[in-house]
Amino acid sequence: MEILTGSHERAVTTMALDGRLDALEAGQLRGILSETIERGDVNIAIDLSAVDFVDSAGLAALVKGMKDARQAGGDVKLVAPKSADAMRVFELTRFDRVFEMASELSSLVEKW
Amino acid sequence: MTETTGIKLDATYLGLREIGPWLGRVFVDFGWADSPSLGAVELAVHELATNVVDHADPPDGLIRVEAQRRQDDLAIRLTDAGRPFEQTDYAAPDENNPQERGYGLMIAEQLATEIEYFRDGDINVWSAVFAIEAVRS
Repeated sequence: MEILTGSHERAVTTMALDGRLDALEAGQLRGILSETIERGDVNIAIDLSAVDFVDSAGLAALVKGMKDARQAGGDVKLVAPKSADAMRVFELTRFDRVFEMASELSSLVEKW
Repeated sequence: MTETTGIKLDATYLGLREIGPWLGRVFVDFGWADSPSLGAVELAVHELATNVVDHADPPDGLIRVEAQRRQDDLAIRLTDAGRPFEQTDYAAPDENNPQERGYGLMIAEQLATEIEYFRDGDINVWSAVFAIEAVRS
């Protein structure tokens, strides 16, 4: 999995992930989210559109980031995976209703 | 018709990445190539195996997985020689206070038509059955 980070004029930090977000990769994401929030960048948009597999450990990393960001006055919002297999874990756990999700990064950032 | 095949996985997160490719071969061998059920079965088996890695810590470092075709169903059996599994309660997500962990078994239970855990001597046994959807035309 590769994690590309960037910033946006609306003070939104963007991250783009690809490949698998599973137990093997979740620690890396958890660390990056933690560092990002600790330095005060609490509005984070994560593009999962190119992710093809998400497990409960990957979901847990996203949930931890969301909780930490919300506690700091921000949020973690997601671009939904295009892959039905990757989207499945959000639907089964109903986190598709907890995270704000959009199909495009631009619409997610513009609504912030 | 009954066919059985199996694989030994390293009980590590990296080892679990063999599950998807192996199940892909199982689906082909069992005549379910291109079935839309493959992704759901992979996720469920992956979550059960992740529980083994996280909690059982088998001394031989292995998880054995067997797949058996039972007509239109796929029966999966995971075994390991690690610590007994202790089922902890899980709750549906609370939008005001979402929990971070504990979803693995909940996910597997929703994807399987049957799921069972038992100890066979010193062995943990997870047994799951999946209804396999035919290839969409």
